[in-house]
Amino acid sequence: MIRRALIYLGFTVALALFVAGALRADTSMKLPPEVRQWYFNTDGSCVQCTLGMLGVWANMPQASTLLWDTPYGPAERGGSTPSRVGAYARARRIPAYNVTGETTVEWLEWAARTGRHAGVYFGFAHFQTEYGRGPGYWLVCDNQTPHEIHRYTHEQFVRKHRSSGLWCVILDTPAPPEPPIYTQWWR
Amino acid sequence: MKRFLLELLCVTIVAALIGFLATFAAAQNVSPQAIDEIARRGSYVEAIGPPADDSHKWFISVIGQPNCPACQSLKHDFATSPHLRPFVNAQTPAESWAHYHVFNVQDQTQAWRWRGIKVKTTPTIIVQPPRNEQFGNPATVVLQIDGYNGDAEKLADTLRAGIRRYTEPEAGALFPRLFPNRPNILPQPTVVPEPTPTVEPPPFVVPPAIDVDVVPPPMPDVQPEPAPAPEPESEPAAATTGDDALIDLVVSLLGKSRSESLDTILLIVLVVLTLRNGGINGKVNAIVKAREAVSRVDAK
Repeated sequence: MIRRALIYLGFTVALALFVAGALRADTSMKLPPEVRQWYFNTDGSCVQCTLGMLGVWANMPQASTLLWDTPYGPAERGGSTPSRVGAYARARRIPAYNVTGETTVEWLEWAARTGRHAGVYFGFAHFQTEYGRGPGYWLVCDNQTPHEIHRYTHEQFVRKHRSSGLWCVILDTPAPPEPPIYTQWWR
Repeated sequence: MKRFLLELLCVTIVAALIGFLATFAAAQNVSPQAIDEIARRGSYVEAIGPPADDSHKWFISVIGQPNCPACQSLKHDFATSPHLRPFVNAQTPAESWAHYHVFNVQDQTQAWRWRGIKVKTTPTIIVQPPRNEQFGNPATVVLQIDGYNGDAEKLADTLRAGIRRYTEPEAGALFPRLFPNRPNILPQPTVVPEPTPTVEPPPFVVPPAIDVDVVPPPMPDVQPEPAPAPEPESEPAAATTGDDALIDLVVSLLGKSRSESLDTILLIVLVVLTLRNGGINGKVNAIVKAREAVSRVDAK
């Protein structure tokens, strides 16, 4: 029993290291795990957790503070609908594309390509963060496990999104820069 | 047999119910009305389709702080100066040559963004290449300008010269060699000196620093609790009971048919089923039952 558990543990660690290594080269949001952890979903506020994460990425405090009472507005907690998102986005002056219907995948592609990324209806009554896009796959951050980044093939992603509900939200702001690094490009 | 089927049905229903409830309880975050509303709205957004792809735009970021006169002057010049308009159109971002962002160096929600560079003063201007990687890694600092003396024309010249140097043919030829594959651009654990605030705190309170009435502020070390798993005992118990019923059935059939080959097959099934119950007891039972069956076949 212990031997089997150790084998499973070793396998899991090896797999996790492999996935983590693979993810480092992806084009995606670059939020550190400790920042994503701020948006851990404790009370069914998945839409606001997702928008908060997007707000930090986009440098938009009126979105990143959605979950708490701040000068930007009262805390928004609990389940959401497109109309509720529209209402509090207007109240807090959060510019956003609140998209429903058949074009959501097209919008998600645009959001990932331009580096804005998106909140996406993904899973049973659940909203998650579209975290990255690569050739043939998508990365998704679930606010119930924000320390993890999940990888889906394009087909899996579209199927799961379509079976959940055609709704996504994209912050309408200039795309944020990647965390800058020094490179000696002049050499 | 009937008992076995009933137990199997019960176990299946209970397992399905537990799975459904666990999923429902864990993930009911979008209101049930959302599905109806999505259907009612149909294809609806304030625009017909996604805007044009702007991943070819450069990035110009200003890192400043409130009540910093040079920062205010720089932001004002980016908004109004004709010298800087070719680089940034702050009023109409869609028409701007670069994605323009103003960051507050005191904003703790953005501190992670600057781990890879050193911000010595405010304002600091950071220029980065486009996201489409036409000019290499978009995380690269093409130009960092520390401070601003109020001369918009000179700033425009500096921006122009820095970008030209990066994109000129000699330097441009380096992109494929420098960035054959995109390097790791995760923030590196560089020690960044803490900025020393010399002026008033920002006009707003950043999330981690405020008192939150609704829930406590997010704790970095909070780990999500694992979802309760269904009790694992029920299924093996049902399987054992089911096997027993099957064994009884096979034993009752043994020796009643006129075909020896059918008896042999039933014998093998019997041994497999009894062994599947596991343990020494299972083996003993298998041998005992097989012997009984064989003796019955011999008697026949």
